Amino acid sequence: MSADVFDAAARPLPLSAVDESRWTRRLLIAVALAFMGLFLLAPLLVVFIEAFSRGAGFFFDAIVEPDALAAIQLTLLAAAISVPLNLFFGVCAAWCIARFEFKGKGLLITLIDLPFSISPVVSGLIYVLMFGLHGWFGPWLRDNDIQIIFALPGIVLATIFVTFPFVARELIPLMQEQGGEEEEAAVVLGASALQIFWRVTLPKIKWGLLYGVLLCNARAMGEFGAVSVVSGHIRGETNTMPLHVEILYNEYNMTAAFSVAALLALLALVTLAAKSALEWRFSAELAALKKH
Amino acid sequence: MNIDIKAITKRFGAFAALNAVDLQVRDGELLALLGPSGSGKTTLLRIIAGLENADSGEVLFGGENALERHPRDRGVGFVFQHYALFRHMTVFDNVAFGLTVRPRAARPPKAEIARRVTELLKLVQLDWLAERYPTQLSGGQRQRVALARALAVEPRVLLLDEPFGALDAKVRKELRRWLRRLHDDMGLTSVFVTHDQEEALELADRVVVMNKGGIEQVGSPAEVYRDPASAFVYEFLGDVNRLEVEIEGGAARLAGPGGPPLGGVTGRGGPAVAPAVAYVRPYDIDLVPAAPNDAGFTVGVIRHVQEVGPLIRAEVDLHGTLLEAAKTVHHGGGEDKTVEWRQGDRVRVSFRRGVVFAADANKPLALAPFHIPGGGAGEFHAVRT
Repeated sequence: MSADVFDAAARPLPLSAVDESRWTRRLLIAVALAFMGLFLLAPLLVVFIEAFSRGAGFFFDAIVEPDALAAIQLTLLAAAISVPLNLFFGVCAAWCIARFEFKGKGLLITLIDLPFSISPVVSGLIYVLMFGLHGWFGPWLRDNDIQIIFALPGIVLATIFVTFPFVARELIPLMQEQGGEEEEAAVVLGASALQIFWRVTLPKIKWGLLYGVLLCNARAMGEFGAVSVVSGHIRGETNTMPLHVEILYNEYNMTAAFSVAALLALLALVTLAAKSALEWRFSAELAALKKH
Repeated sequence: MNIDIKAITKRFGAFAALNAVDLQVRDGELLALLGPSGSGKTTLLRIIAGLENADSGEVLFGGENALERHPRDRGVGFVFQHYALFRHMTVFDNVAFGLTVRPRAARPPKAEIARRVTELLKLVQLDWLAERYPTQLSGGQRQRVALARALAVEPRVLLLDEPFGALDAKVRKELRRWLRRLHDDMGLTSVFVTHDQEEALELADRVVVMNKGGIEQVGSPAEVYRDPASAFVYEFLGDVNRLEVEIEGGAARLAGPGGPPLGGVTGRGGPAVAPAVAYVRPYDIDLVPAAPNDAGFTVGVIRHVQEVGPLIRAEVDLHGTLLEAAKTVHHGGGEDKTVEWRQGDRVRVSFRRGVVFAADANKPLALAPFHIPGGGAGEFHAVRT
């Protein structure tokens, strides 16, 4: 009798209906980890190993070299201009899509997705066709001595185009789900439009907004295709970091290429770490927002 | 402050949410807008608050045009169905919001705001939860925070959209009584929307019954319950039996061949047969055991008996039509003079009172029991009341 009881205790607990068996679970976890390791972690490691393969000194030399510095500066500048603009446009677009009913709303939603569905090369070419020397506005721009293509404005335009959907896409479902009752409550309580935005709407969407901005920023710094078409690849002038990496790579300057690439990857990692840190810091508040 | 609503019309596309609605809300009263979903009650409330624009018509607050004013300047307190508390703010900040968004000149100093918020939280008995976030509160607590927030701006009018809709039955009852007291103590003019007839009848000074974008009846709870102005009101307010009948020679009988007589109809003589609908409440039906010689009476069979709290309900099959009868139980003490109802019993069914809506008449007619001389069968005289 007592032996039976012990036997029963030794057996694994009965599985609930939604539990997979232990082996299925292990297999699934193993596959997921292996996939992550092979396709995400390994390449990242390779980048850093290759970058430091000739020592830290070489790595820093490759980064502080004037052309590389110029590329870093240009990349940061382009991101610093395009991310705030997309933040603004994204909030506006999400606001009117989530809050108002109007004709052409479906078209607007489709248009927001356009940069995702279109090849970045085509996005670049659009600007060449419009602002290039033989483009629609080319002659007028030349007569007025305004340079867009093969200059900073072109790079910024291409970056804005490519990264436009991130903020809006992140906010639209969030704002639709949250609805506008809190804003209505604020109106009745006497708040002005600006007060409602700063004190009610923004706190409600700030995490989604932050996530959208971080993604937008990561893509803005890393964009290659569209920027490649409009930049003109002038070393030290219109080369962004990704373009600089490509040039170094094509010159068989592997270690230097990987050094700049490592820096680019590092920027992405810092972005992710910042997001995680913020989430951790405000975890209680975040949970409160989600449960509601 | 009294509110005058004049010919308010609102359409959503092809759907007429409100059709030239007129309504007067008296100063200091607690008014219920009662109706099924889609009857326009919430739309009307939102138009009063300014959260929705009327297509045409007027809303006057104490005689002055309210529609010209921005919702934030109307001096209205609004409690939303799902409370709409600011989820990222503490209870304290939620209640303080209406005061802190005032323009600098009209904004009370910080200490004064704190004092008023604490006072309000004490009023709703939640001062001990001031630092919590809305998600950490129960439904009833959120409801009270929403109320305190609405009251913080000292509104002239308090509007509540399904204020107890999301609460469980017990909390709902408590909050109802509490709201009634609060309304009386603060001398507010309040309008609340509900689809729950019990809530409207228990809480309100006057009830506005709405249907399909129009008002069916306005009156005190007793008035709308006792004298429903239309078939809709009768059906919507409380349990009621709906019977297809025919009126013939001053009496109503169940429609169809061989339909048993139900009672006399006041003010309807003549031999002409008219189709009509009769409404009788369950506790206006008497069931008495049928005698073997009761062939001429209205006799039915009890199909089912059910005891619900203090009520006994019986389902009676009367000539193929199912009726619900009800009476109160006399538990213990005192002699129970009423007869026990048992499943399968043959019973004589009599209707103490009811209302008949004839297809060719626009006024409801009263259904009254027959006077049966000497308990004999066959002869019926309508009792004139």
